[in-house]
Amino acid sequence: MTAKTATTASIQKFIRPEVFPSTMCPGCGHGILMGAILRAVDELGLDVRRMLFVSGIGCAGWIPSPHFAADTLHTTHGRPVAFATGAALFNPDLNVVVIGGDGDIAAIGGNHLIHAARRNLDMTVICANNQIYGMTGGQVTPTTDIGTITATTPQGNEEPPFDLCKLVEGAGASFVARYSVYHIRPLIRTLKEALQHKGFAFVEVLSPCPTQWGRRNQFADPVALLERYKTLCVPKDRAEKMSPEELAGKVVVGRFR
Amino acid sequence: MVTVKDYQSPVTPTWCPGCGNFGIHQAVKTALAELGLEPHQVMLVSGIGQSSKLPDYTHANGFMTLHGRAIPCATGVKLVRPDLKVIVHSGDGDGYAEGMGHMVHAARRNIGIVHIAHNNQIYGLTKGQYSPTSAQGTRSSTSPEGSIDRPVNPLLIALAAGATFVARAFSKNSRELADIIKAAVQHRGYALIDVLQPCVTFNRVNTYEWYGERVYPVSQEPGYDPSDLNWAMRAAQIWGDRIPVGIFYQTEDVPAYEEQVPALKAGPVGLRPIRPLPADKAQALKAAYM
Amino acid sequence: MKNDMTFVLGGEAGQGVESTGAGFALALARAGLRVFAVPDYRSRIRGGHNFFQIRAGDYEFFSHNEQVHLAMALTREAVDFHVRQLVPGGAIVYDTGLKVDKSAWPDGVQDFAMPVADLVQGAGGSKLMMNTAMVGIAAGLTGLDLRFVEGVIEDNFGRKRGDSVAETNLKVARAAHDYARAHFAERFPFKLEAVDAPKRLLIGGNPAMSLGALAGGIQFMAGYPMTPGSPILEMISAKAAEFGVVTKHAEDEIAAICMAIGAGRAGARAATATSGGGFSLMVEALGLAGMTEVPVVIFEVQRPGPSTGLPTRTEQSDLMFVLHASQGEFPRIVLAPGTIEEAFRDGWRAFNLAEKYQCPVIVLSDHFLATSLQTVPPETLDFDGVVIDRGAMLTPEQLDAMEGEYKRFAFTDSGISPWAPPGHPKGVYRSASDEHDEYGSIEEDATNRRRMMEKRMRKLETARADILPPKLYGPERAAITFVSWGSGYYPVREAMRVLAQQGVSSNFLHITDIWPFPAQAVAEALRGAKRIVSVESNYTGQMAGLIRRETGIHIEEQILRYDGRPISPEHILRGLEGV
Repeated sequence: MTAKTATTASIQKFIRPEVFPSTMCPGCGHGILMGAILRAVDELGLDVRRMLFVSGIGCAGWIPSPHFAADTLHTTHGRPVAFATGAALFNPDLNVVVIGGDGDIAAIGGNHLIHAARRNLDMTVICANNQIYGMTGGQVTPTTDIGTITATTPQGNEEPPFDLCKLVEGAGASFVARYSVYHIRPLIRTLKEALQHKGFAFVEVLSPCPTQWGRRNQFADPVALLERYKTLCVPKDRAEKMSPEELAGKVVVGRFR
Repeated sequence: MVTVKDYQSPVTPTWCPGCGNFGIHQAVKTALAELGLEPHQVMLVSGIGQSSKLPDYTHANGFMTLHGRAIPCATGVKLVRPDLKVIVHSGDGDGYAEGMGHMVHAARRNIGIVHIAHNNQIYGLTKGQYSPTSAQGTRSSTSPEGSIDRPVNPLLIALAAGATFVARAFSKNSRELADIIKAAVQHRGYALIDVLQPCVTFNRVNTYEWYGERVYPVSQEPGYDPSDLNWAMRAAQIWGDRIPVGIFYQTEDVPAYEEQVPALKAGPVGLRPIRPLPADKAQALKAAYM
Repeated sequence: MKNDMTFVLGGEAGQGVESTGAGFALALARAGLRVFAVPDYRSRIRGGHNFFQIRAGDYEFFSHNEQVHLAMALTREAVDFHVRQLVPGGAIVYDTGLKVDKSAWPDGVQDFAMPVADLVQGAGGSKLMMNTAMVGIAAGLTGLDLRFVEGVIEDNFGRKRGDSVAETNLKVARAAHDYARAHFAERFPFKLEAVDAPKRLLIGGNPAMSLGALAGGIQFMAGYPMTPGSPILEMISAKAAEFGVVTKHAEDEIAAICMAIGAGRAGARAATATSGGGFSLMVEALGLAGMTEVPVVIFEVQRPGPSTGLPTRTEQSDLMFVLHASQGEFPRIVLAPGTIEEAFRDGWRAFNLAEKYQCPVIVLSDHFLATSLQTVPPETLDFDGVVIDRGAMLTPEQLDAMEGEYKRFAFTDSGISPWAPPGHPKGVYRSASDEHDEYGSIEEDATNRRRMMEKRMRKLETARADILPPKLYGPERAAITFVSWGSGYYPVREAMRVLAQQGVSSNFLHITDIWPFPAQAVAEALRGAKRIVSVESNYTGQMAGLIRRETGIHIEEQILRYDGRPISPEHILRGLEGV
């Protein structure tokens, strides 16, 4: 392995010191994701002055803004991809990165996601998928598993969730990948590839929410939540050799396109 | 005995002569009549566009709503009256541009509505702008130099979103379309039928001849297996000189959304008489705040 | 000392400030005291300064106020913030471990630093139980019987003794209570004692409105998360299986209102709940309901805009927006409850009005009304007074007897056309968002258009019969006449009480049904008023503007607030010049 392993110190320059203490809950996966994104930027040696981070409303929207010492555009709920489209079309040299949650990107913003993917717009969309609306108090999202207890599904969720990667791939995205914040090295590697990809890149990142998701579903312990990904996730190449029965209840991670 | 005539509305269609909507209209009426469904047992919900005028030309419960919003309106109907057969008519602009965000959610929920998308690859009512299904390079009033957007593949998106019934048909082949609609109406959950429909006024490329030379039954594809999602996703990507039509994917193993709603276990809530609450229920509600 | 004091519990998000505060408010209510409690929190899950303020007393008062007697601070920021609010003799409680700068403290404030963390640890509790300790201390200092606090802890953490979380919290509360009583209670001049009073409910506007909707037979609700509207969907969802309500958390607000309209078109009592931002997305569909004459109820709980604004704070700035939202002209009814009684009543009445007049009904609430908790007599939620009126809904028998094709949009004198839920062979019709004829078919004829417009708009005139006039509180003649709407009720009533103590007479016109505007009643009530003062939570004085537009009465003196905080009685008194 030749890649230089970034240290915490190396990404300090990308973070506004005045924002701490962070607003993220203890055990929230979004902090790990934030670190992974910045490490990818650092390891690639990208000039953040040539980057624009766009976010909507929700816990994940707070990853770039207020944390990043870079140009950030904090927009309305569900619309970051549409705002980012405008920025990317106006200034094609800009490296446009959208960071949002599953509610923001896949529920209210799902339509923009599909159309941006088919247009193959040059941007990277990172969806921090914690399967819950954190900020508004723990309601069901389009990626919440069947049976999950949420504020709006007190009897358990009835809706099958989206496979976001499949959806975006079906819409025509030219780069599709999924990891969890537990898979930190492959995640950083994938984010680096996505940031360098010409065209539409989508990276789904599973990220635990102990506060709104965990407490309602017998997973209040952040460490257990994080370790859950170890058994839940199956790498793509291994999954290809597994039967549908063996894959039931598992999440396949890796680069899909 | 229900006949096509029972669905006859006194209103004369204003579609252009030769419009593909006529074939779709005939197929819908035929399918419903052959299934023995009466007009009051059916609700046709549409958005805005030429295709969305179909309920006006049909004697059945009809609700012509907003551009792009037929699916959520139909979802509301189905969730209080699951006893009604709910059929959505949308266009490609209506259903796949403004309404796509709703379509993928309907597909994943597997809500029991039949979605017939009249896909003419152009905005007809607003006079010929390119749509999400227009081929790359389409010259139109909003893409005078040719469109840059790659078209959506509605079948593939529906499959990826979790749809349990996905089909494509050609409006000219009204009989085949009627059979697909019959299967969709009897299907458990959401069904998408993408109907290739020539627009004789604004689309000079995708004509009857153009389609006629290309369409063939998807069942002729090697290994045809509409119960295999992976097969369907591969077949859905065939497009060009040859365009397969028919049922690409169908599974009856996924429960429809409305089957699982606790409040619907006792029957359609929309049919329940409304009365003031009994005193003990009222008291119990208050007790939680003492 | 009379029973009247205000507590504040302050800390970070995640320290359980709101839940503990609400629990203490319930304990005070169970002790027979009247309570008015206001949460104040930031739009974030962790960190930031949050607080919960509780006013308690044993006589009639109407709102919170700015006089804090006992502040309990879980963080240094909370100490700095709340010490400034204390009245002379008031005390601030915090853990001795906090490094506190007392140089800027006001005179007369008592420093009640206590070893709170040690007390918690000594009782076997975790750091998360600091909030429970604070409540125990409050009881110890004021002399409130600890059993009221214990009762709430048992209810919240499981009633059975021996449950470890409940048990530990009880121990923590007891230890903190005993310590405070032994070491500080003597120096604390403000006391509370339980009074023998009839049982009261402790409730806020959101739950009262939700219960009203259940009482009114709601059958369908769809929504999308948006503070402070979404708790209504959550409360209805929690009762959905029991009460036979279909609830749907939709993919966005557009879908939510369209689902509700679809359900309304299918003959169900349907609603959605949101805040201003979500309502902005619903606007096109509002016109669809107006044009197709579909009954639908929209609960709009306002928060400060524009755009994301202040998500967890209050404002009354959507009045003009909801009155005019969507293109074209169509009838709509707008209700703005101000009290718990009105929130419950409008919760069910909205459905009657929507079905009777076959149009959208908007119930306009705000964060302050929705989230503040207050004690009310149980009969305030008047379930016995609930009436179900589905308007001109055709019965199967009437449809059986009908001759000819059904005219869903028949021209009538009242503008109201009999409506049929789907499912009857003779009740089949189509309806369109395009202009249409009496049968519902798309029609562009000029005469038809004119008649159809007049028919629809006539419903608004007919609806005037159901519009409640504004309510006048206080004497018929007074030196000052306040005008307000919605949650302005509370601080205005409280300001009136204080003014009366100062020998200033005042009365108050509270407007609750807003559209169609009760112009005649408002004009009559204000005629001859000596000095009119309008009070509302927005920048432009929207209600005063509406009154001027509809009655010609120009109210020059306006007390406005638009910093996101609820209007307090002191804010009104400060705003009154020359009193």
